[in-house]
Amino acid sequence: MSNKVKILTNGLLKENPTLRLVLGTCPTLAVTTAASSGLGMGIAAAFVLVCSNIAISALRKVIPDKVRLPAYITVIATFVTIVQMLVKAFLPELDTALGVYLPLIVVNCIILGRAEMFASKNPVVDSALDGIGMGLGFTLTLVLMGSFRELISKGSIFGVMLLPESLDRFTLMGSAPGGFFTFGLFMAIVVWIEIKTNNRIKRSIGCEGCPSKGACAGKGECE
Amino acid sequence: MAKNKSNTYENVVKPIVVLVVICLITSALLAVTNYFTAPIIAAQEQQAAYAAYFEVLPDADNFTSVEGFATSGVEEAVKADNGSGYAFRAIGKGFGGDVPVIVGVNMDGVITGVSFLQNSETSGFGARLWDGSADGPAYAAELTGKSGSVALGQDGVNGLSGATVTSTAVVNAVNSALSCFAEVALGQAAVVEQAAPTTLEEAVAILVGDGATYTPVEFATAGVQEAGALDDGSGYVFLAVGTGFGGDVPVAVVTDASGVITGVSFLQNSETSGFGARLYDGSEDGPAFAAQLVGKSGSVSLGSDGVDGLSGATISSTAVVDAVNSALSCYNEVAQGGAPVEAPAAAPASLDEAVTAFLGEGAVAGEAEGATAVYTSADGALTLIAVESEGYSDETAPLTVATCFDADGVVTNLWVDVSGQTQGLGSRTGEADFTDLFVGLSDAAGVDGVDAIASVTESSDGVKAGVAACMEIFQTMKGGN
Amino acid sequence: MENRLLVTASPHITGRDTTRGLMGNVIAALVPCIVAAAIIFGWQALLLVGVTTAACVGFEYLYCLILKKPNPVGDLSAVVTGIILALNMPVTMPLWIAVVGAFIAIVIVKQLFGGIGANFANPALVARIALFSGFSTRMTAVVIPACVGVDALSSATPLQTADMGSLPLLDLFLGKYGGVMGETCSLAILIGLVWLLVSRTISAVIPVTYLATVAVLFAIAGQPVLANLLTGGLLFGAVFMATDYVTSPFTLRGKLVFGLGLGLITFAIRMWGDLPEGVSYAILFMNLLVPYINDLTRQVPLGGGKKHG
Repeated sequence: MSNKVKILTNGLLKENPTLRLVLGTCPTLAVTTAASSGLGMGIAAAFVLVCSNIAISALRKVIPDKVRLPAYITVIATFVTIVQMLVKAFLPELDTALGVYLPLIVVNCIILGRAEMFASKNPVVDSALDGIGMGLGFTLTLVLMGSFRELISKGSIFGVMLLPESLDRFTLMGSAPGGFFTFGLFMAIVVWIEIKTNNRIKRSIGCEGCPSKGACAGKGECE
Repeated sequence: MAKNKSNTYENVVKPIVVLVVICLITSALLAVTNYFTAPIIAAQEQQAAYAAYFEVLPDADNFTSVEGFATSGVEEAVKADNGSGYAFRAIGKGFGGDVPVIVGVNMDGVITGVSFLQNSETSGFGARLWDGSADGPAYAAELTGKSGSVALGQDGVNGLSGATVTSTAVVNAVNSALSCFAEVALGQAAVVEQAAPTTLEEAVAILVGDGATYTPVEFATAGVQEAGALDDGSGYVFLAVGTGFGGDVPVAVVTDASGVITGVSFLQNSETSGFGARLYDGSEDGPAFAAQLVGKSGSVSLGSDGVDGLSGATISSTAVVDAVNSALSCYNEVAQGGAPVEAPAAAPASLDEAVTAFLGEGAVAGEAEGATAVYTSADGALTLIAVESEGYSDETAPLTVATCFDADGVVTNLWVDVSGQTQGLGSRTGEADFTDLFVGLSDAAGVDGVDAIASVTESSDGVKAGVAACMEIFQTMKGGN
Repeated sequence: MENRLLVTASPHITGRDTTRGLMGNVIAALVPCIVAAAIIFGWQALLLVGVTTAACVGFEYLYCLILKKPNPVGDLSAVVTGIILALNMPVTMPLWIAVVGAFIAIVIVKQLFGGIGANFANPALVARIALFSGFSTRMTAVVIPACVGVDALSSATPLQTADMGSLPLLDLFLGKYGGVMGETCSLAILIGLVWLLVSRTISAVIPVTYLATVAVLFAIAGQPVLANLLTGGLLFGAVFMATDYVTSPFTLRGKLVFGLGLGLITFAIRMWGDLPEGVSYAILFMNLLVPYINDLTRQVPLGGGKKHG
C-alpha cells in the first residue's frame, strides 16, 4: 500500500514533471501568466494524463513495440480532443484563456513521457495513480508559478487584487523573461527542498542522469 | 516454418490490426462526444454572433434568424424567441462606403436600441459612430423610441454634427430596418430598392411601366443621347447628359405629349459617393429631386420654382438641370418641329485658336509690357492681349486671360485658358455664359460689375483681374502710340 | 601548465593595479556626472544615487554572507554598479524600484553567475533594461529640468525631435534638457573620460571607436551628427558602460571590433528601430558576443604558437 502512496506522491515533488523532469516546459511558460489559466490547463492536462495512462496501461500487452508511439499518440489525441470539445461547450472562457495550448496538450511531453516511462510497464491501477500524482504535481506547479507571476506583474492572484493599485507592477514578469526567471527560481526552490530533506541525489550528465533512462534502458535512443 | 509464420504475424499483421482497432474505438468515442457537445458549441457561437443584437433588444433571450425578407438595405433580420421583438442589421450608404447599423424593434414597432458596427467613415467625422466617443451613443439615443420612420432634423434626431452624409446614411439604414419590421412582423409589402437603371429602356420600364415601348426618333439637339416617342402616344422619352463633377450625369426624362415632364430617373453615374451619387444610390434624395422636376415644362433652373436639387451637390444638380433642359429642347425639336438647339460652338482650345477665331487669319504678333502675348488683326482693327492671372489652382497651367479689343478699347471677345482649373468649378469661367458677360465692356468699372460665378469666386476674380489688366495694357499701348 | 589569466603572449609585466584601485578611479570619474545631475535635476538626484549604491553594496554583502562566500564588497565594484545604475534612471524614480534594480544587477546578473569577473553582461546595463521593460512608465517619465531654456528641448526626449539639426548644441552639451540623470550633461561625462584616460583606467579605443563609428554612419546618412552624439545616453554608455573590463574584449583588435559593432547597432536601432535610443541594447548585444570576439582576436605569440583549445 505504501508503494501506491509512493507512486501517488512521486509526481508532487520528487519527480515533479515540470521542475524535476523538465517536461512540458512550453505550456508551462505560456500559461502561467495568470493563476486561473494555470489551474485550468493543469486540470485539463491531468484529466488527459489519467485517462491516457489507464488506457495505455490496459493495452500495454496488446500494442506491439513497433507501433507503440503511433498508438500512444492516437489515444492521447483522442482524449485531448474530447477534453477540448467539453471545454468549448461548457467552459468557453477557459477555452479562450488557454487558446492554442489546449489542443497542444497532445504533444505535452509529460503525457507521452509518462506513457513511455510508466504506463507501458505498469499495471492499470498503478498507472492511474501515477497519472493522478503527475497531474497533481503539474497543476500545483502551474498554479504556484502562475500566482507568482500574476502577483508581480498584475498585482492579483486568481483575479483578486492583492497589491494596492498605487504600487507599480513589474510587467516583465508577465512576459517571456519573467517566465524563465520564475521557472529557474522554482527549480532552485525544489532542489533546495531536496537538499534540506537529504534527498538530493547527485545526478550526472548523460544517460546516467536522464530522468527517462528507464524508458530506453540507457541505450541512448531518445525517441 | 512456424517461426516464420509467427514472425509475419508479429511484425505485420498484429500491429496493423491493433492500430486499426484502436482507431475505430477512438473514432467512436470522438463521435459520441461530438454528438453531445456540437450543438452546445454551435449555440454558443451563435450567441457570440448575436451579441450585438442582445445589445439593442435587451429583453430578448435568444434569436432565430428570419429568412426570406425582401426589404433592401437590410442584411440580416432575427426574431427574439420570447416574442420581445426583432433585431436588424441594416446598411446605409455613407461617405466611405457602407455604414452598418444594428436596430432593435419591439413588437409595437418602437425602436428599443441602436448600435453602430465598425465602418470606414472618416476618422473624426463618421467614425465617431463607433470609435468610443460619446457621439455615437448619443445619436443612438436620439433614435431610440422612434417608430414608423425617422428623418434627420426632425423630432430630435440631430445626428452627428459635421458628419451629415454619415448621419443621413444612418437614417436611411434605420428606415430600412423599420420597413423590414413592417414586412416581417406586420406582413406589409417589402420596400425593395431597385438598382439604378443603366439604359434608357430600363429607365422607361421604371417610369412608365414594364410593357412600355418607344420608337427612336431623329434629333440634333446637343446634350441628348437618345430620344424616342412612346408607342402608345402618351409622350416622349429622352436620355440626356449633363457634365457633372466626375463626368457625365445621364438623366432619363419622360414627357407627356404636351411637353410636361411626367418622370425623371437618374442612371448610374460616377459622381462622388455621398454627394452626386445620391442621385442613384437608393437614398431618398434622388427620387426627391426627380419629384421636384415632375410637372415642369419648357425649361427648368436650379433654385427657382421648387427645383432645389441635392443639397451639398451643386455641380451634380446643375448637371441634372442642364440635362433636363437639353431633353426639353429636344422635345421642342422632335414634337413641335422647333429648331434643334445645337451645342454652342466649342470654345477655342488654345491661345492660337483664340487668335484665329477672334482676329481671323494673318494676325500679327506684337509685344507689350505685362502681357504674355499681343496680336493685332491683319487689318489692324482688333487687338488681342493675353495676360497670366491667378485662378484657384494654377498648378498645371496658369489662368491665361486673352481679351480682344476693337479700336475703341471695347471688349469684343474673351478667351480663358481653364486647362489648369478644377473641372466643373474653375473651368466654368471659360464657358460662354461667363465670358459673354465681358463683351461690350470698356473700363475697369464695368469689369467690377461682372458677377462671379457662384462658388467659383477665386477663378472668376482671376478672370476679372485679367481682363482689367488687359484693358490697362491696351490703354497704355494706345496712349503710348 | 597554462595559466588561464594570461590572455596575451609573453613577455608580461605585472602592474600595480588592484580592482579596488581601478574602481576607485571610476568612481572619481563619475563624480562630475553626479554633481551635474544634482545641479540640473535637484538634490533628489543625490538621494537616488545614494540609495541605489547602498542597495547594491547591501545586496552583495548579504548574498555572500548567506551563501558563505568571501566578502567582495571591498573591491568597490558594487559601488560603481550602483552609481552607474542610478545615473541611468530618471530623477523621479521611486526608491523602491531603484532597489529592485539593484537586486537585479547585483544578485541576478553578477552574483548568480559567479561574482565579479564572471558576469555575462554589464550588471547595471541589464538592470536598466529590465527596469525599462518592467516599469516602463517610470523609466520613461522623463523630467524636464528647470533650467531648460529652449522650447525644442522641453519635449520628452530630444532624440525624438523630428529635426534634430535645429537643437541648440550648447544646451545639449551642458545637459540642459530632459533625460535620465547621467546622460544629459556631456561636459561632465567628458571630464570623467579625461580622468579615466589620464589615470590609465580604460583605454580610449572603445569610446573613440564607438563614437567615431556612430558619427561617420550618421554623417553618411545625412543626419545631424553632433546632435545625435550628444543625446540618448550615447556618451555615457560609451565611456562608462561599454568599457567595463569584464564584458569587453582584451586585445586592441577585439576592442576595435567591439566599438565598431556597437556603433553599427546603435545606428541601426536609432535609424530604423522603434526604440528611442539604441545604446543599451547595442551594448548588451555586444557584451554577449565578447567571448566570440575574444576567441577570434586572440594575440598570436611571436613566432607563431599552438592554437588554444
